[in-house]
Amino acid sequence: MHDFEAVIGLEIHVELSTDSKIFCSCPTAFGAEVNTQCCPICLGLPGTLPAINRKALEYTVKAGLALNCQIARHTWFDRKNYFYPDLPKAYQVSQQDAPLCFDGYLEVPVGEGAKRVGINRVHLEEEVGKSLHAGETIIDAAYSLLDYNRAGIPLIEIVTEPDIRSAEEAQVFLERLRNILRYIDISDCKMQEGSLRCDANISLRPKGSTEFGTKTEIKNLNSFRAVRRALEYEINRQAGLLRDGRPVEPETRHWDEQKGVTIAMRSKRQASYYRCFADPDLVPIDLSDEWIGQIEGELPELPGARRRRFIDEYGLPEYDAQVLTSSKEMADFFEEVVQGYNDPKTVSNWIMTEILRYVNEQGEEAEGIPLTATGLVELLQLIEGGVINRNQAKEIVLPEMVAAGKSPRQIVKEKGLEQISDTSQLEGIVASVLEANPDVVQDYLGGKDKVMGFLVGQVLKATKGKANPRLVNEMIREKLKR
Amino acid sequence: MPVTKEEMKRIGEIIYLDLTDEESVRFADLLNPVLEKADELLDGLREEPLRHISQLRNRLREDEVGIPLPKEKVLANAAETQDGCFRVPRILED
Amino acid sequence: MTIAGMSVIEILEGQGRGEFTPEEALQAHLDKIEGEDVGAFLRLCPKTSSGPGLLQGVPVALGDEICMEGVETTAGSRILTGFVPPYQAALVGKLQGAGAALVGKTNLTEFGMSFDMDDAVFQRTQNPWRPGTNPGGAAGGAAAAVAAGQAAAAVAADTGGDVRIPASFCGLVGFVPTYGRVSRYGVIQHAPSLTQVGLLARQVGDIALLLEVLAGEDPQDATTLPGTLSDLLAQAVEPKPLRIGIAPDIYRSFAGGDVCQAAANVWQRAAEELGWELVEVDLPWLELAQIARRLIAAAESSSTLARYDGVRYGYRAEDAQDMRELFSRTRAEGFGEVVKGEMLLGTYILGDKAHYEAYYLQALRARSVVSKSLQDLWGEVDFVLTPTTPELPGKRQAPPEIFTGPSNLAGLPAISLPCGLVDGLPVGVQLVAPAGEEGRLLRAAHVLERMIGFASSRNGGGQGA
Repeated sequence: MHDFEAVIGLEIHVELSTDSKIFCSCPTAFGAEVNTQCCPICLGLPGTLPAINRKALEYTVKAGLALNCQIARHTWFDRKNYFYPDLPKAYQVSQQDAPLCFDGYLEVPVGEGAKRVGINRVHLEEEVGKSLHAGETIIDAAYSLLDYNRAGIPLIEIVTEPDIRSAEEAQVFLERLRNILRYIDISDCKMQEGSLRCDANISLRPKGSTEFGTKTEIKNLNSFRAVRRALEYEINRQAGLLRDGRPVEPETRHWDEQKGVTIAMRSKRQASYYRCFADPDLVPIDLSDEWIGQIEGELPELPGARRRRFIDEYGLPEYDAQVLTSSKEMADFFEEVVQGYNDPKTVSNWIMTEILRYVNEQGEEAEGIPLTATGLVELLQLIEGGVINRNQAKEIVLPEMVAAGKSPRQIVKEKGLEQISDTSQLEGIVASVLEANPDVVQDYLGGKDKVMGFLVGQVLKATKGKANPRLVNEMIREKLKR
Repeated sequence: MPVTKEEMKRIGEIIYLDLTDEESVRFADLLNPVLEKADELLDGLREEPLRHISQLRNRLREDEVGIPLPKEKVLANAAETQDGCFRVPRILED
Repeated sequence: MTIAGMSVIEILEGQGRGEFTPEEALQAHLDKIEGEDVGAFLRLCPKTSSGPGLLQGVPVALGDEICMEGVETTAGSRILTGFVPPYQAALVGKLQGAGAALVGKTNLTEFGMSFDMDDAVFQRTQNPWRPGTNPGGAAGGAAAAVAAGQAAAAVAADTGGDVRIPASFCGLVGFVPTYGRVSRYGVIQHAPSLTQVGLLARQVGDIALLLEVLAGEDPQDATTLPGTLSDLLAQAVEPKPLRIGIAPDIYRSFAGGDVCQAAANVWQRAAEELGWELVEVDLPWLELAQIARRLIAAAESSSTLARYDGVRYGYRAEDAQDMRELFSRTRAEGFGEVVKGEMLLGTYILGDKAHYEAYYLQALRARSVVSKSLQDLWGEVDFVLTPTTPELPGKRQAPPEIFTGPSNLAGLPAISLPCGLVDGLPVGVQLVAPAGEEGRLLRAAHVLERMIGFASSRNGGGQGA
C-alpha cells in the first residue's frame, strides 16, 4: 500500500430533528407504526403542494455555519427526477444548482497536528420512504412493502472535498462531524436508526501524483467502524488491481458487513442523469445578512472554542479539555458539576476515568451520561467531607448510582458506609492496634515515617474500612508524639 | 440532428415508457418538427433564464405538527396492500 | 326566462326576489344535464352543498382536475381511474363556504395537455352551439356545461388557453387571473409554473364575483399572492381614455380573416364609441412564446406526471412480475398518446446537459424575453387586445394557443369575451393586462362587454358583430 495514496471523499446524509416534515405537518418520530405519519402531501398525491418548514431551512444554515461554509444569499429547490417505489412523487425535492451552504471546512486531528477537510456543500432535501423486502436481499424478495412514514423528513446532504487520505481519517472526520451536529442540536445522528448515513468515494493514485484515479462509491455503511473497515478493504482491493496492472471499474459497491468485503452492485440505471430543474411549486429563498446573523446568534459554543475556554477558564491540561469537549453532553456535564464542586481538575479526573468508562461501555450509539451532575457533586462532597473514602466512592457508590439512579447519600446510608469520624469511637481501636504492634511503634518512634501506613491500615481493617483514614492518621501521630 | 428511433426508445426507458419500434418512429416524427422549430427560434438568446415566474420569496411554514391521515385513508387508493403497507412486486434494480 | 341559462348574478337576483329557491335553481340545471347530452360532465357530485354566502345557490361546475374529497377525480386520464382524493382543492372549500352548489366534474383533455377536445380520453364533448362540433379545450367540458345551461359558471385550470379557447368557441367569458391569485392546492396540474386557475361564465360580472370568492393567499400554495380582492367592478372609472395595444399585421399572419375581422370590429368600435386610444404595438415573439411555453410545459409534465406509477393510487397494470414491469406497463396502458408524446419531449429536453442547455434553459430565456417585452409594453398601453383563437375549432393551421399562451408564460391576467359569430359559431377577443391588475381588466372588459352586446344564449339569437 505504501506506493499508493488514497483519495477519499464522503457524502453524508443527516435527518434533521424538526418536529414536522419538510413540506407538510406530519410528525417525524422514529419507530411509529407503518404509514401512520403520512398525509396527501408527503404521499405525493396529485394536486398537493409543498410548504417549506422554516426550522429545516434554519437548521441547514446552522450546519453550514458550524462547518465554516458560505451561506447562499439566493437559493431555490430543484426536482431530482428518478423512479423508485419509495419516492412518492418520482422526484426528490433537493438542491442541485444553488446549495444553501458551500465552500466550508472541518478541522480534524491528524497525528500530532490537524488538517482541514473541505466541505463542498451542505444542501437541504427531502427523505424518501422505506421499502421492506420479503427476503434476504432486494433481489431475492418475492415482493416488497412500502412504508412512507419517513418520506418527507428533512434531510441535509453534506459533501466533502476529496481531502481525506486514509480510512482512519475518514472515521475521525465522521466522529468530529457528528460531534458538531449534536452540539448544534440539529440531529440525533444515530447511524443505527439511519438518521446519519454515509457513502464514500475512493480512488488511489501513486504517491506524489496530483491526478485522480478512477473512483468507486461504497454504500451501505452502517457504522463508523463499517466506514473504516470498508475503506481499508477497498484500498487494498484497488491497490491489488493497480499493482497487477488491472483497471479499477468506476462503479458503486455494496459493503457486506458480515463477509467484510465490498461487492459491485447491479448498476443498469444508476448512471442516469437526474434531469434536475427548479421546482415550480416552491418560491426561491433570499437570505438576508440579518437573518443569517440571527441564526448564527442561536449557535451554541462550538467544540473548538469550548476546548480553548476549558484550558483558559478552568486551567485544564489540553488533553483533558480535548476529551471533555468531545461531546456536548460531556462538556455540559463537566461545567454543571464544576458549578457545584469548584475543583475543575478533580472533576475532570473523575469524568475522564470513572464516568467515561460507563459511557464507553454503551458503545458507538451512547445515549449520554448515565448519572446527574448533582449526583456527582454530592459524591465528591461526601469524599471531601470524609463521610466515605475514594475507594468506597468508586467501587460501591458510583456503580449503584448508575445502576439504580439513587443519590449517593441514600446509597451510603443504605449500605452503612459512613466513615467513623468520631474520635471517641476510634480511641480504643487505635490503642489496641498500637499495643498489638510494639515493634512497628518502635520503628516509627525511631524515625521510620513509612510504617505509619501500616498502622492506619490495621485500624481500617479492624473497622472494616469505615474509619476515616485521615483522622486515624492524626490520632496515631498525636499518641506517638516523638 | 433529428431524434432517432433508438434515441427515442432510450428516452422512453428513462420515464418507464417502453416504446415499440413503430411507436418510437411515430414519437420521433412528432418531436422532430418541434425541436427543429425550437432550434430555429431559441438559438442565440442570452437573457437571464426566468427560473421562477412568481416574484414571491421566503414563503415558509412554522415547524408545527398536524394530524396525519388515518392509515385506512393512506392505503384506501392502493391497488395492493399488506400489513399496513403498499405492496409491490419484487424490485430487481437499485 | 328559464333558470338554466341564467348568469350567476341573475340567479342571485332571482333568489333575492323570491322567484325561486337554491334547490330549484340546482334542480333546473340538473334537469338540463338530463335533457341535453353534450358530454360535458364526467360525473355529477353525489351531494351538493349550498348555504348562505356570496354564491348562495349558484350551480358551479368543476373541471375534473380539481380534487373534491370523496369524489373520484381523474383529470381526464385513465391512469387516475378510481382515484378518490382524501382531501380537496382549496378553491372547493372557498366555493362551498360561499354557498355555491357544486354540480359535478367536467370533461377535459388528458391532464389538460391538448387544446383539441377531440383528444379527450373518456368521452366526446359537443359544442352546444352546434352539436357535432368541437367546443375547444382543454376545459371543453366546463365550457360546454355553462354554454348548455347545465351550470351557471365553471372553474378549471388554464395552462396556455385551456379556459379561454373553449370560452371563445362556446360564446362565454373565460378568464385567468395573475399567476398565484387563486390557490392551486388540490388542482391536478401538468405544468405548475404555467397554471392559473381559470373561470368560465356568461358575463364579466359573474367572473368578478367568483374571483372575489376564490382570490387570496393560501399557506398551502407557496405561490399565492397576499391580500384579497373585493368590489372589483365598483371601483372608480379610469381617469384617462384607455390605451389599447393591437398588432393587426401579426394577428393576420396567424389568424383567419374572419377571426381577425371580428377582433378589428371590436377595437374600432371601442375607439369610436368609447374613445379608447388604439396603439399599434409589435409582438414579434408570439412564435417564440409558443415554442417556449410548449417546451416548458413538456419538461414540467415529464416530472410532474412521473408519480403515476401504480403503487399508491390510480390505475395499475395487472399481474406485473416485477417493479420494472409494473411501472412500464402501468404507464404504457394508463397514459394516452398526447401525454406520452409531451412527456417524451420533456424528458428529451431535460435528458442530458446539452439538451437542457439548448432547449430547456433557452426556453427559460425566451420566457424572460417575453415577460420583459410585455413589461415594457405597459409603459405605452393599458391592455393588449388580440383575437382569442386564430381559427374556428377543428382547423389546425396555427397553434390554437398562439394568442393565449403568452399570458401563461408571463403569469398575466387575461380575459376572453365573445365578440360575434363566424359561420354561426362564436369567436372571442382577448384582453391581456399587467400582473396584479385584475380589477382594471375586469372593469374594462365590463365596458367592452356592454358595447359588444353579445347575447350569450344560443337561443337568444347570438348576433354577429
